[in-house]
Amino acid sequence: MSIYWLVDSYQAFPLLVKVLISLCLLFTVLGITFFALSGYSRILASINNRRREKIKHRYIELIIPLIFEESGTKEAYDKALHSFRKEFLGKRGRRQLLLNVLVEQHDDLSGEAAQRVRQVYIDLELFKDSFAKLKDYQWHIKVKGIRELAQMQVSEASKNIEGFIDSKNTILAKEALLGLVQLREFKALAYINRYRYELSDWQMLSILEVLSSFDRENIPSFARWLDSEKNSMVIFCLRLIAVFHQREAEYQVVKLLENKERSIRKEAVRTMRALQLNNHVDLIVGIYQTETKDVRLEILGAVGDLSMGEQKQFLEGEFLQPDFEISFAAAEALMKTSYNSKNDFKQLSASFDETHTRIIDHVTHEMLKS
Amino acid sequence: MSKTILIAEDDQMMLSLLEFKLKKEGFVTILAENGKQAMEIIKKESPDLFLIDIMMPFINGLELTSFIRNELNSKVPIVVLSSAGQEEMVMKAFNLGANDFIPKPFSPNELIIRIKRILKL
Repeated sequence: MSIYWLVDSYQAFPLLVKVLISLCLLFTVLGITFFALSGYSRILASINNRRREKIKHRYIELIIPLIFEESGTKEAYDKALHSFRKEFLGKRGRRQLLLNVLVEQHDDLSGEAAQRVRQVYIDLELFKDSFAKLKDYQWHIKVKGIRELAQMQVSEASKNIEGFIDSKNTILAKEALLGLVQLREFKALAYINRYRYELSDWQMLSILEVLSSFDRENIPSFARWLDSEKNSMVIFCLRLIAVFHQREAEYQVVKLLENKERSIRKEAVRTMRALQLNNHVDLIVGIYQTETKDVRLEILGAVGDLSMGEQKQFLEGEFLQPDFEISFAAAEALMKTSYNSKNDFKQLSASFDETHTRIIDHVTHEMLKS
Repeated sequence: MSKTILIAEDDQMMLSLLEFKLKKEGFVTILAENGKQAMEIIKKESPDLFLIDIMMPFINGLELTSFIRNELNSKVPIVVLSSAGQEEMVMKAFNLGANDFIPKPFSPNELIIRIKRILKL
């Protein structure tokens, strides 16, 4: 069977069969090529991964003594840095790998060890790589640069990062804001006020977590931002007032009960509860009837924490409401302020419907009593 | 005699860092890169303290703590390493019998002080 025979046979087939055979051949060749290429790229990726792991391991071996040799001389440290720079930092990929190692270490450590990691980052001039990332055209590279500079506390970077909080890319803007908080601590609150987007709950939590780690001696009065036009800024400041227990903001917090925005009124009640402002219980009970359900629930919770039993009648009335959540919150508040057992509830009615009975069983359960 | 510490940590960098610091302080270290490996080692070796990361692949720190306390009936002190947001897991670890926990980020010097205090050194 020669090639000529194959060609002759092929030419003898009708056109449709010829097309089908050609297509089969074409797809077979394409399939084989695809599998060969994907296999090759997987092998290549696995070799690269192994190589990267090996280099990373070597970096770790070299960097750890630099961080922990407290007794080492400056000359020895400089010599180690020099050989490190010469031997490993020529290639961009390797520099990034080292940068990742240092950032990760800085994230896991605190105190002197973290300071030493930062010093290695500065001395090896890796901050230049982080700054260069801020100029990259891809937003995710910019984000990486912001995170590196913020993590390593390069305070000079705040000016470069500042511009990104106005970015149309919301992720970049969020990262820039968080980076500025890490770098400028409480001073960054001014940036939050001019931040063009509303703060999400997640963002507030992230910023609060960062702020909580700072020295509490330099905390500004958060009440000054309570008149911000941005609702999320007001809510965030109320949360800061609650977390940092700024009781001196009492007047401004109470004033926010008159705010037209429901979420702000709700947060104000929550803040009053956190600050233990029990001299305003009558006031929050006074606005109860005009409030929305979620604010009412917040008020019932606050009354439970702040009242000394003087709101018993109000709470009993709310407990008898048909709304499950309202009734439940009122029952909890009653148990905290006025009642001790199931018998106390029996004074309200000879018999309760199934929902109320369940609520009573729940709130009077021994394990839930405070 | 030097005390032996078994470190169970899946992060290579953290493992090396803990090893270096503990060795520098005169401890003997046994390393495990995951919970499963740690379990195998525990069956053969008897360290004086376990330093366990809560989040590990295959068998996590909680399972390892439970294994040490309930299956091996060992009373060897256990210190767990945790990251932010793992408070609930730390509580579970204490319920399972962990003696102390170190939240990340941590100061290696503080870690050494805590370990020495637990081992009464």
